[in-house]
Amino acid sequence: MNQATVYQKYKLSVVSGGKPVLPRSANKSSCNKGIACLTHDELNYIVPFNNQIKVYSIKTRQCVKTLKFANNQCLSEVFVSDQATIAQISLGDVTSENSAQRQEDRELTVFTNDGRIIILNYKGKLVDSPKLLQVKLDQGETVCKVFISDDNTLKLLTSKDSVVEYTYRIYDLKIQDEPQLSLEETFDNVILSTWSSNDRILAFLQKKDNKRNIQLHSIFDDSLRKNFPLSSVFASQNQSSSSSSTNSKYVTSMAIDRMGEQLAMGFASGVINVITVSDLQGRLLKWHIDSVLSLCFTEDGSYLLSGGWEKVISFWQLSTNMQQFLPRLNGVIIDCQSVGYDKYYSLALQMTENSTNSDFQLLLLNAADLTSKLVVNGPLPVFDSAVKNTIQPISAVATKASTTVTTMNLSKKKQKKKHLKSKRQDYTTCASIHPVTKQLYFPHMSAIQVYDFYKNEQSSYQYLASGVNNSMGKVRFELNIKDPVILDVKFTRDGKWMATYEVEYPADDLLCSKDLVHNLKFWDKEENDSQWNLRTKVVNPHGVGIPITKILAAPTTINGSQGFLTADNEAGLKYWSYEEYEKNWCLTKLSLPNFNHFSNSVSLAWSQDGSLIFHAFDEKLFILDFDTFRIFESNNTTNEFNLDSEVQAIQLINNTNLIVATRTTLNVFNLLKGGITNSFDLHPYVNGVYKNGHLDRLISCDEKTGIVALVINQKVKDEDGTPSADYKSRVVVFDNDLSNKLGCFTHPEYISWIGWNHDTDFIFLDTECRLGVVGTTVNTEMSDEVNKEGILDDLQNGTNDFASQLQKLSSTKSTNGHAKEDEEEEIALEFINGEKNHKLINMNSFTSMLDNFQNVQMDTLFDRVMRVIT
Amino acid sequence: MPSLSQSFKLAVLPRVASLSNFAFQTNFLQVADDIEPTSNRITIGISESAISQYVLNPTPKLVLSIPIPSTNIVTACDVARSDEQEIWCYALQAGKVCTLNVASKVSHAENGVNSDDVLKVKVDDQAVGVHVNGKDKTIVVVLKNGLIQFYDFQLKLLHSLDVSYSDVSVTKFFTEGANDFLFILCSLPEDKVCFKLFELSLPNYNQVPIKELSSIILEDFSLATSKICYQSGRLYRLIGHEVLVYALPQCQLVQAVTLPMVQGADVISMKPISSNRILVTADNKIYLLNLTHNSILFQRELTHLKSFQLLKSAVIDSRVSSSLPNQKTFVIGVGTKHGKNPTSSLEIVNVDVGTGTLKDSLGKGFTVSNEPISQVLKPLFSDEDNEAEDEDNKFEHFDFNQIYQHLEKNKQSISSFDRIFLRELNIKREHYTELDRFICDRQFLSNVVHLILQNFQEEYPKALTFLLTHPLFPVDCTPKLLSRLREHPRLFKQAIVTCPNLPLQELLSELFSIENGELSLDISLRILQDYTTDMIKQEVRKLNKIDVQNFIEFVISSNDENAIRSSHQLFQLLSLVLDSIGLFALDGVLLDRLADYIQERVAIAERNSKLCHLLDDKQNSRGFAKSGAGSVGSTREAVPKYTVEYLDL
Repeated sequence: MNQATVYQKYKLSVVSGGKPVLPRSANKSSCNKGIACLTHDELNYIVPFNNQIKVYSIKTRQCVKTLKFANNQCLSEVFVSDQATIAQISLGDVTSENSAQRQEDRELTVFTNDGRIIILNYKGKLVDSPKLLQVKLDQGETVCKVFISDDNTLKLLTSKDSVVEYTYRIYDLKIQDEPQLSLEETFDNVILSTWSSNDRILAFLQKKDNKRNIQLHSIFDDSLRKNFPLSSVFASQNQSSSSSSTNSKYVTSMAIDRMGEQLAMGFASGVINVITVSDLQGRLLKWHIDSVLSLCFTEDGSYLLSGGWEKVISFWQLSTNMQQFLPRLNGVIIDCQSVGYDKYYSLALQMTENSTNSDFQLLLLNAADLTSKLVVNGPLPVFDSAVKNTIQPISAVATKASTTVTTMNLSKKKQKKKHLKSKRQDYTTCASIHPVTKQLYFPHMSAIQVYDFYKNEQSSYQYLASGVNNSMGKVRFELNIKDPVILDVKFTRDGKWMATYEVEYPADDLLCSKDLVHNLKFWDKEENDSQWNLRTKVVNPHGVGIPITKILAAPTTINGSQGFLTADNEAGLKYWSYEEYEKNWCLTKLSLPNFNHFSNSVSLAWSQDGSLIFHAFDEKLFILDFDTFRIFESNNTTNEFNLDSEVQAIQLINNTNLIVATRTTLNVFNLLKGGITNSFDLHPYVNGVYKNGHLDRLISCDEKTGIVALVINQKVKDEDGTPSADYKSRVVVFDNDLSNKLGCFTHPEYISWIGWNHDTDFIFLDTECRLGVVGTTVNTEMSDEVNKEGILDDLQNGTNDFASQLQKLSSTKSTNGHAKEDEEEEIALEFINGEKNHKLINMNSFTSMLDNFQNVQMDTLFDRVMRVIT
Repeated sequence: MPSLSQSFKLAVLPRVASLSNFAFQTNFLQVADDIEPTSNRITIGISESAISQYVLNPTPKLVLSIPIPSTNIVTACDVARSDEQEIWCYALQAGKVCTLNVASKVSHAENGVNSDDVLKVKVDDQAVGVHVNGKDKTIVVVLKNGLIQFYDFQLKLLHSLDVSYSDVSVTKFFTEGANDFLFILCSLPEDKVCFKLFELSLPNYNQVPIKELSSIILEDFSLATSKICYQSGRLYRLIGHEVLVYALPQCQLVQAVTLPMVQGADVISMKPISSNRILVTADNKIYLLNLTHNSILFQRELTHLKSFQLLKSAVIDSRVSSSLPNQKTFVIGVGTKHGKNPTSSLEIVNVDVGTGTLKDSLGKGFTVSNEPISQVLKPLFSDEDNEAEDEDNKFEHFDFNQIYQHLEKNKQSISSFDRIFLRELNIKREHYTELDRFICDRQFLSNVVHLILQNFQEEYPKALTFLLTHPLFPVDCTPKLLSRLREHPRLFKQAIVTCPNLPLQELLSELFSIENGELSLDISLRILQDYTTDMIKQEVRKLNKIDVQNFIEFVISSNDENAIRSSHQLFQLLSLVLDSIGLFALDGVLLDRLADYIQERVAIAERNSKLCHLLDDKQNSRGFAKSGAGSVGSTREAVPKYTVEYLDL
């Protein structure tokens, strides 16, 4: 993966982010989706991600161990190159002969969907070449679940997708040297499947000859074999034919208890039917008003847990029909399980408000007091359009955020087709890096997620706009209500202020339904406070119904960097600044729009000394004087340039080069020479792929060194040349005038966003929510350009570097006596050593270094230590 | 905006050989350090003549002068004010005898200093730098032999320090914060230099009034061939045509800039003027340079002089006051006229240093790069596992020079011109498409358009149609393009629809004179799209009144179908025109007609809005009836839904 072509300086590595894996979430016939598991001592919780396996300590709520796929050759082959996913995690080495040797306290067995078995140790350093076995499966067959009995017999359950129904097979799995499979039983036409929490009983809902049957099957013996038609259950209810719609008959989830005595079925209408298996008598539990998405019995069979669109988990005491609730969960409950002998409940939530991606969150609840013990999720980006493999849960009503009984199969196909055919494949996302804390900010519908790249954890999640979703789940027709959406987030250079841009949607079917409200909000944060506080809200900042197309933070030289520039789609510009006397953000400057010309191709750049603003609108580039806020008037230079097509992104580099990316070309415009010095052909990669203005998300510039990173996404063709829905991407790293390529890296997934981390690296996010870094571990040598920047910096900031150095010098010198010989020597020595040797080293010197210790490579660490001590 | 004024003469120097020889003249003229951007008095020690004080405003004139013997050379000179008293201190050298002289005068008194009042003391060696501290009543003298001596105003030696290096050649006193500092550069053998930085703490005579802060030996630093100047923490060293910038206090090299404009000049001088900006003279040209951006902010040639050298500049320290700092200052220099026996004079040049920001430097860079500016589109990936091999993405490369030469040979014949143009540039369509993106050399495009416009009059080749659709149609070809193409309706329309950068003024005048409804629509669209309302209003104001009236007539009297369809744009333009010229500029008759016309339109609008409401009402009542009727309504066939979203006037 590291293929630096020119210099070895820059490297690409995927080290962070990812999303929790719910392997069976794509299998709509499976009711048990979560595969996270507790360790045997019930102190740790093992969560599989799509790029790593993380072990969380339940006590401290912290991640105590990560097994990163990219860092191990074997794992990276399986999971990165072959794109396998984890299907099941079992504690201990299941391949060992007897259960005594399984070492449950340090090893785990990972089954992948394509039939691989990998033994990993989760304590201590990960072994270099873990044991890897391959089970041979049929074409299209995927591993669904592996059942393990106490005497170490293994049964493998596989599933195979046909058009509507699934085919399940149970194999006996024997592992001596090579894994041996022998087919035991096949279940055709399965609509739903579930198994008891002790892995002993399987239940299937099958469709045969237009009749639906329920089949119960004990896995390791023949103690339970039962088959009865679903209609018999309905019959026992004496349901009147009038109230039976499709929704009330469509089973959306199922659960069976440990003993195989009770079976619970949830329907799309929200009703739960609990059936006593022995006499097929059922009773109805009614509370949910939209599809029941998850059901489970507690271990003792006395409680039933149910969850759905309401974002409320309901506990039914089966003996009394009493109900208890735990409301206000973060997402729609798509899976619930009781783990650790009823000590914990493990829930899988999906934040369905984001329809462009399946945002899963795993939640571990303490069963005794229902307090949350662990919340696990990855970065939550909102992509421009739905990425592949995005699944929305089933609802009674068809909306953007849900699928229904009837649209389910259709929509899946449609989506696949769209991914294959359509040329406009914009899966970019909006994100921002806080300049001080270096945390990543992802706008997530009405909220913002703060993700720490280095700690590899979400650090906070805050709602920035009020919507229905913030406190409760939406059901049925409420799903059509559109909550406000945060579209952009930016920070001032000092990191003290955040500006967000959001759009509010009026209710549907009104005259005003199309009149969107655009809000610009300014937030600040107290020191040590995790939440941002709203200070100023501007409704329709550019006029009614006019969107903001770009927000740009002011350079440090303007108003102490407390300023923002906003642009609209009519070439209007406004400058907002925090005014001390008003204690508020004010509109301080504006330039009027051209009311007849609309374009979303708007880009902005601002010179570091604050004097000039570069405003690209459609295919024109204007240079504005910030003082007058009008087009820069100068007698000898042109202030307006025409490009060959709409400008998609501009970046000002080192105050001399302006990088202008249009739909067809990438140009370097030398401002001092007044001409284009270098241009590249972008047309094959960019034209028509991204929405206007979104290419900006794939170009980033290191403002300290002027190094530019550009992402090119390309569709991958199959071996036989047919286009597939898969992508690869390339990151090109250029020097400041694009004359040299410092590196070119390939990444096997579509990259949605890249940004400079206000240090030496670029951080990127792919459509699998994985975070990677393109960076140098060693500082670039001090070239002339770099030094020039230095000069500029200390003159700009008003911080008089020279004066302070002088002061330091004069105060350190002894005040009496001549500069003696030895003193002179000392001075000379001081010069050789650099002037930093006054720096004190104490126990706190290295703490900042240890903050993000996990992902650090050896040479980085060395570099950091050197930076502290020199 | 940064600028340099024409120089004006302060005084003519005496006709002495040493003062007219531009190789040495700057050494013989010592300007006192006390000048600031706002100062009106300049004191100059003129060797072999006098120490003279001049005022600049209102007219430059000599106000005071202390004559010195004609054998004496002024080696240093400084002036400071102390308690209503001005202290002049200057160092003289006559042969091997070096003296330090102090004269005092009551401030504002014009009656001058008596040369008898001048105190004099002999010093060991040539004084390289003199600094008068008025506040602490001290004079600091740096001697060439490496002694730093402190005197009071009665020239009593207070303290002496040996820096232990001889041959001190450059000294500079400066203030940073509240403290005074001094640095010296001493030449050492083998092109080495010792840099020493001292802090002066003058009132403390009990203790040592000076302490050394740093001492650094720099190699490959020949003081004899370098010109040195200092400002705000940076030491600038001009050697050959390269400026090296050192950062104090450690005197580290931070930047090296090649100045192409001083190359080949006989007389070069350099002085700082403001942060990051320096003045450089080369013969009789004076440049204001920004060394951060490497740009020539302003340049001026002083044609009446043969050479001009800078003596002293009043530096603006832009770090001190950041909010709208003063940008005006001046510099004093010595100019030598042309001719065999030239005279020299002291000249003042006023300087506006600008803001020091990018906006001053835009397009003025002087860096010479070895790489030729290439206008060729390069492929992003050279390695090419580039699977994009389909027609759309094929990479093309043109030799624009060759094609141009080829075209030039065929400028007589339209058909061959077209054939070559289309074939060589591989143009498939008559208009620009993205396949033609490789034709992006602006110079080439400009040349070809010029070639076409120069050689073809009656009929134009098809190439022009193509070029008019090209988004990079050269800006310099657009003026007067419309009037040229007026006789060719197709090209005219093409230009209006696709050609970028058409001047607003021409568009407006075309619009106001045209009678064709379709074209007027196109032009009005174009104007409204390309220019903001402000620009349009401004431009309309400049236009002929008759034209404006014609336009109004045209709009209100047109019954043309097309014009009505395009009325939206035309109305918008009409309102802009009325806004900019004002209603009262129109004559009564036209005003009446305009009022009638507007009335008519308003009536139509009202009627339409009523109709719209009517429809709305009707729909509402139906909906109401339906819900009221209950189940009866549901059996009836649903009323087809329709809405009126938009009614045309």
